[in-house]
Amino acid sequence: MANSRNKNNDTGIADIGDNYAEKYGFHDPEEYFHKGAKGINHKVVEMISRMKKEPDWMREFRHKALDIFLSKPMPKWGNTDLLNAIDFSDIYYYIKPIEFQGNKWEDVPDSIKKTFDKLGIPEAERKFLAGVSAQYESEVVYHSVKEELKKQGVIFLDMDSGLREHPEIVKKYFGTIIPPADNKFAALNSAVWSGGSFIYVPEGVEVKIPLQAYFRINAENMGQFERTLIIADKGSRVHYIEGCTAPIYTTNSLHSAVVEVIALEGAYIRYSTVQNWSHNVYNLVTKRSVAHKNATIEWIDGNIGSKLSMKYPCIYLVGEGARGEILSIAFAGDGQHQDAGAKVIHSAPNTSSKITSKSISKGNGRASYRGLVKIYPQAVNSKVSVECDALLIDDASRSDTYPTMEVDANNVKVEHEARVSKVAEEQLFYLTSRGLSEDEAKLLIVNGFIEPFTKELPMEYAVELNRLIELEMETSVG
Amino acid sequence: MNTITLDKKKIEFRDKIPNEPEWIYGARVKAWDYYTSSPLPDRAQHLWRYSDPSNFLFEKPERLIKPFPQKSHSNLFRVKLEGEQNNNIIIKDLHSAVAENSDLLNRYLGKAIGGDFGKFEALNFAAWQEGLLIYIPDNTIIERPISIQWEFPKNDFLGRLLVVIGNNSKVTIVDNYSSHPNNKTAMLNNAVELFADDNSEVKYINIQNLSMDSRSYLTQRAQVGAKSKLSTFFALLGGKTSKLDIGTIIEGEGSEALMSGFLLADNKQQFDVHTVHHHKAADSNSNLDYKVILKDKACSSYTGLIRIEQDAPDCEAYQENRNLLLGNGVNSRSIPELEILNQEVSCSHGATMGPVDPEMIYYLNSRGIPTTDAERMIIEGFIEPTFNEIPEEPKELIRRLFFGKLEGEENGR
Repeated sequence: MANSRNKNNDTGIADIGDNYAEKYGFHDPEEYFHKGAKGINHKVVEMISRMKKEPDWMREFRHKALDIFLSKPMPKWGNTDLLNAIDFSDIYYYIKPIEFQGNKWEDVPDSIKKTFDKLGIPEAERKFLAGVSAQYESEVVYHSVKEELKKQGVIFLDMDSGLREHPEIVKKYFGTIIPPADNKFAALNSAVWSGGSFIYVPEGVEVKIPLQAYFRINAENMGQFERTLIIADKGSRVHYIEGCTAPIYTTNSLHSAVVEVIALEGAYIRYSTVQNWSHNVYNLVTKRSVAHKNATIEWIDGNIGSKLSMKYPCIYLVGEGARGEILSIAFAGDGQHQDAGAKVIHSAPNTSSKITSKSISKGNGRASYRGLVKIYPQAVNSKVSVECDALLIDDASRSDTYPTMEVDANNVKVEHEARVSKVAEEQLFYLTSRGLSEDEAKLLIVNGFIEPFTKELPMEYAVELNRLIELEMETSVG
Repeated sequence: MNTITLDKKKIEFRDKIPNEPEWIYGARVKAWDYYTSSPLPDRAQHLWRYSDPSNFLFEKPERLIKPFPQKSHSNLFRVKLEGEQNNNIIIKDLHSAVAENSDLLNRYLGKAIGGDFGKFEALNFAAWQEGLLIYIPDNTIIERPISIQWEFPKNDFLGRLLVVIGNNSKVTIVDNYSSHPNNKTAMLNNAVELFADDNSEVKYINIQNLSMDSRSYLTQRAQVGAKSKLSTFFALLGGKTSKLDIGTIIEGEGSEALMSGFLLADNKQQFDVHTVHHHKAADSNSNLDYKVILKDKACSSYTGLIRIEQDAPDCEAYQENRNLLLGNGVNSRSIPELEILNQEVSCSHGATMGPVDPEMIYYLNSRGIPTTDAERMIIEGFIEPTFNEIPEEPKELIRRLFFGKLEGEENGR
């Protein structure tokens, strides 16, 4: 009941905003934002919720989440130096589309423009990616897709519209997989989220083409605090693609998304993403999924950009016979720390999972694999295999592996393997003896190294990713 | 700390533990201050994720600062060294060594596990009650193992072992821990430091067979010079709650560090083992093989780190942790870690967890071997390669303890 007043006095925040205008003296919320307010407090959260005309339960959800965010300490693990350098009072938590478009093409750094050139990104798309245009002209393509989906009963909207148009589904699932109290950044996202995707696939429906965040023509889908919710009902199938291989330029220094994915009995969900934020961005993301009985979830997760990424896609296998797979690559160039990994939690019998992680460190880049495999006593006959491969390109590069395995059942099979090496001399020798330059040979080897990942991407992405790796490698081997 | 309080504190230590050289009072005071001023380790820190640090506290630790009763020395440890005539070898209790070999101790004591290593190590350094020095001079080859048999007292105890091995020397040390028969719930905090100079070959074998109700906290570090080979072996059998932090730091080029061992836990025993192989020098190799066998409701966590520094190229490092889960209520944790700061490496690790493979049982059954025998054969196959890392002499003892405990005899007795 999204529109009913849901007063819950237990929370202590029930009356926030009831006499909003008098209390805070804002008569024109838009004007307030037009001035641009940095920092976070209950006023900002109230403003976001009011501007979006959200139901009370969501407004209260946001306020509660903010309290959690404010009370939670910074994580004490990972790259604490970089984490503690975040100044939460120096960040815009909500920017109206109108301001978002206010950036100028001239302000976009040359390095980003050059990359667009080399990747061959169309002009219109460039401006969108650089954050100077809110629109990406794909209306024609999108239109036919939209018709097709509508016929099948598939809901594919941005999260804000999803909440407006399908409040009953959103309320049932929103925040159930990643509650605000999960971690500090999930709490922050829960308080100030904006944009993201909302997908519901009805029972038995198979979505033939991959759904791409691109198709949603919405200024807010590039937000800092995206919130994505995907529900695949019984026996349905869907592939969702988020992000793209071209660098995304933004002046915002913090990106903190929350992604919740739910596969009901027998459903199949694949979530593919390649993040390539510009190198000034903190990418602190919580992604988690739940696989019910005989359901399958696959994360295909690429990390190329950002200054610091902390991202560990997670699968809870809660139904008998559920299956999960996480395939990830991380490329850490100069000044970057990719702290990425994967988590699988087995809590039902006969579940299986597989994690494959590949990382490349060059320059003084640092790639870390941080993972968790947890098997509860009831998850009998479960199988897990984890494989981590790391490639070091320079003497200054660093690679870390921090897997954690917690097994509380005895009739299970858990295997973990990790390797760290440089580009093999013999391979280089062989390729150079065939007339390739050393640079070309190295590039070929690196592309071969990540091939298990690229072959899982749709062709156009795979091609772009290879070109991107070529670009990233150029500075090191050139 | 100003000089007046420092001197005052030194005098307090001097009153309690007389006849030590001046430098050691200063070091004890510093360590004591570190111990009292540092908080209990944070459970969020990964090495403490699976152990409650308060398990390893002493009641009234200030009472421990006293010379250990001299009379009981003879029961505390026995050292056996056969067929060796080199007069320059030093084997003596640590109090005597502090007084008589002050220069040597000043150079080595606490240099690998010092008063600021951690809270529990600081307590040990400030208040160790008794210990042993083994000094093997340059160019000394000792064929038969030096064996140390400890019988830890029935009360809480802080002990240390310091081993210094010179250039071109070769030695095997068997360090055997057992408890006083009346020991019930005592806490043992031990520190083992090994320094192996260039071109040396050292084997250190630690057998922990403490009473089943005791708690223990062991820190071991070895520092290896150039072109040396250092192997350590840890057999963990006893104790109710045991935490170990063991490792080798390769300081010289061209050296090799090996570590292997097992823990066999039953009932509600808890083990928390942390291993380190730290490559600080080029062209060095390390290999680690740690096996875990859990019965009943036993609990084990293993955290193993390989770290290769940026200025240590051409290293090879391998690590394997295999867990055999025999009981229905066991908890097994494994965190093999790699921190590689150099591209000129070859490095890998692996971890497995699972029960005795039912397919293997099936195969042996089909050959007419009953399930109980088949299981035993598979467990033997699992552990035997690890036993082969042990020199002949302690091997039989360790094998006997292992199978004794596997079949349910307490402490293999």
